[in-house]
Amino acid sequence: MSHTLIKRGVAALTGAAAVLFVVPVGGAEARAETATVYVVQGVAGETVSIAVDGKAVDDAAAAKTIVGPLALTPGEHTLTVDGEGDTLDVEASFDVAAGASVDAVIHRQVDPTAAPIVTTYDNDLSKVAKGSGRVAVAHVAAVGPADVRVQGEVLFANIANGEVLTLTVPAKTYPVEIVPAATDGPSVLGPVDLPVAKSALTRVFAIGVAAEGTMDAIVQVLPLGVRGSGKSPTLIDAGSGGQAAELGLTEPSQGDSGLPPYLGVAALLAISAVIVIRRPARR
Amino acid sequence: MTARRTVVAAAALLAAVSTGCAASEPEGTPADSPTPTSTPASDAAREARVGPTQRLTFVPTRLTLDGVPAAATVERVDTLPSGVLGLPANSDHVGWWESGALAGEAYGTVVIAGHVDSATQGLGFFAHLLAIEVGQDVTLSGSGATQRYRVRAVHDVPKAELAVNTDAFAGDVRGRLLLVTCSGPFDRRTGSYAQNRLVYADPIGTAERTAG
Repeated sequence: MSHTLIKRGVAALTGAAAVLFVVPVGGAEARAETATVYVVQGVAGETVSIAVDGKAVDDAAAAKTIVGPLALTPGEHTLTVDGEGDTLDVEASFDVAAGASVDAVIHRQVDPTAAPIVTTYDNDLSKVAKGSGRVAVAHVAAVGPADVRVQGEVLFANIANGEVLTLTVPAKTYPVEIVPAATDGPSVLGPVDLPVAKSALTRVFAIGVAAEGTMDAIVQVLPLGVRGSGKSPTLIDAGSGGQAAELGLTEPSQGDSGLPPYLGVAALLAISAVIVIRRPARR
Repeated sequence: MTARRTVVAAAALLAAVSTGCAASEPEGTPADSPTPTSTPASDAAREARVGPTQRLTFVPTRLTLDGVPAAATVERVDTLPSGVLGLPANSDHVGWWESGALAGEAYGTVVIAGHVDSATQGLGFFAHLLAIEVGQDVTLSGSGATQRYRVRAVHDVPKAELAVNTDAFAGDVRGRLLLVTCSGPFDRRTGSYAQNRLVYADPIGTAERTAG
């Protein structure tokens, strides 16, 4: 019954609210070498207050809230989470390097009766090929190791709580399902439609407690650059001397064999070894 | 789920190896040592671990062809404003098209082009490409990782066809390798060949870490 609710309740995954507060921590002179941090409230069904280095950044962060980007100085910082009663209280220190982009996620352990913990995820912001998107799936849920399947094919295999798998894919919308690792189901989340934007990092955090039927996903989208010109060549001009033609090496490939019929491979190697001595071309 | 914990040791080994290789990264976050699945809240936040099935990707810097003892240096090249693909000045080197896929990626085309010959340098490394047949292997390596490919198809196409039919450079395909050089008749007047030799190869498994 709750499985059905989960499958239907999360009909589509869209980017969660990414910017609630921008809290520069550290002086203006540090801005050039700060780290960028997002705090992700991944405790399903709970509202907590979040502070960084003792300063409140969100007094009432509902589940799936993403606080940031926060500009933090390189070095150690403290994240304090305060919820109703004591069971959700967490205080964790984490280190960030200059120029890094990091998600600090508050989330359940596999054992949902244990206190939530904080896991930091580095954001790979390197460029992707034009028309592609980088997908990073992070398991931060109270459920065992899982596979992420797209139309029956496992694209992210055997990912456990606190782990992440990253894959660059053509930008499009994918029907995604999370199932226990090495099984065909039943799904613990989905199927849901996950849009993967081009030139972007799409982070997916699987959160919740499977046994309580609260499995859900947080989607965060960060922009990426395009690697190279992004333009397909219209011409590849890769021979200006004609020596290969003179040797008969450039005869048409024999269907799928690619080998001129009257020259063995050894002969070709011998001939090319001689020519590499750089004799001037005839005529 | 029963075999899950047995890969934790392998993940730790991978983590140890990956921290020693500065430039070769699994796509995504750096690895960390495994931690217990259920612990009380501790003082230090945990760093995410890269899952044990994380695919490796890398910029290729060396290429080997079956039957050719020497490896070729792979440089980065890209499409020039004219639409021509830039190629290394040294005809012993080949060029990886940086707007295409990285070696090891699950999707897209890794394009590597090289001179068959040169007016000033004689035969280029990719004269060897003309002898490559279906079923032979090509290996790319870089940044401590290696990916092997098996040749699936060899074609000669008129050079002008690349501009009209751009499927060769497709990104929305399963990860594959395309090697390109020139072939067919050589026109002395223009100093160029009439055709391109296209060699398509499919990855064998995923990229693996190698020593060094």
